Amino acid sequence: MSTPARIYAVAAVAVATLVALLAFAARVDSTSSADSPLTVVSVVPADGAVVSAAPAAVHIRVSGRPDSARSHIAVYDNGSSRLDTGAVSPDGDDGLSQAIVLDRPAEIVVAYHVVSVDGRAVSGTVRFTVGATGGPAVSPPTAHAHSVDPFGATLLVIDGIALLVVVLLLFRRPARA
Amino acid sequence: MTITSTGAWTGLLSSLNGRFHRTALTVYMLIVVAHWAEHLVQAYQIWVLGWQRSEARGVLGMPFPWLVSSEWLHYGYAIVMLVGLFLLRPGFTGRAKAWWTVALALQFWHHIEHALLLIQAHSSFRFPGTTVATSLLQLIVPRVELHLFYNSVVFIPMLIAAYLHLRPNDAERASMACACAPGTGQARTLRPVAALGD
Repeated sequence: MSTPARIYAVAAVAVATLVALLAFAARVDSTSSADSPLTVVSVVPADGAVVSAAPAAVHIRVSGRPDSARSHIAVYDNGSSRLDTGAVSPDGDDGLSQAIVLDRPAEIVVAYHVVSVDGRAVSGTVRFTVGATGGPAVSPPTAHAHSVDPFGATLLVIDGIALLVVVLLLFRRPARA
Repeated sequence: MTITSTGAWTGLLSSLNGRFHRTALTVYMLIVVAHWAEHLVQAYQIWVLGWQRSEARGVLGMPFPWLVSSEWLHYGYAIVMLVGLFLLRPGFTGRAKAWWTVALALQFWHHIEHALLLIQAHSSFRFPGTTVATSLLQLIVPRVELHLFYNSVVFIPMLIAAYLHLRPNDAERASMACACAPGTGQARTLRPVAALGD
């Protein structure tokens, strides 16, 4: 096998192994997280978001499997009128959605109390705005977000160490003239 | 494309991978390291300053908060990365070229993922079972922010390639058209056709 072919093979195996480890870790994390606190992964529309049109529903994803029968999502406008309609419904394995009725610009407050099937709970509020406010529109959040979670922070450190090693190697091994 | 524009393109590519390769590579790596530093500042804001994650927007994201959530910006950066990897690849030789190609291939996939996110951010299209814009890898690795994973798996082979390019062995040094490795002397003009291939 030529050197480039060996490099391609090593890289392919390394990336495939990393993805497999990540998928395995994510699966283990989702099934053995009963001792960790339930946390909110995302709310759509996100806290502080400005959306041009009223959403049909508010979606909340948490770090566990929510129990829709024991969870509540209340949605208010700036006049304290309730906007949610109907019951909270499951939204995938780890989410809930609450339908709302709104046909005008408004400042919205979402108050939630989510209980997971294993008895953990998380509550809080988020605010978002429906209608133009003069500022640039905020895109809806994505699952491929650009914040830094503990996993990403670890990768940043690894990247930094790799950069440092390369710089040190360049100094330690001067180029031949 | 006319013969003239083809010739100009080949000439530009030849210069970029010849006498300007070191400069272009330096600028490119500075952009990549600046992006890494922005995320490092975000991490500092979260874990050292104790800011809420939604408030930790790095340096540029503080005066321009919409930058952080702009899919256009992230797609644009993915494109810049991809174009840089593509344009600077012919200047590499041997092992360095192989590692650079690994980075190029991975960045190409990262760019596809960003294109899918961009489409979802500006349409009602969603993958089955999802309610928010989701990348393909996110479907099998949920609840992990993969942006930095992709950046790392591109960054590491890129670093290896840069190191091997700056410290080539004799065979690699002999086929280099640039002056990236000290001691290689005056940069030669890259062979227009043969040098662009493998």
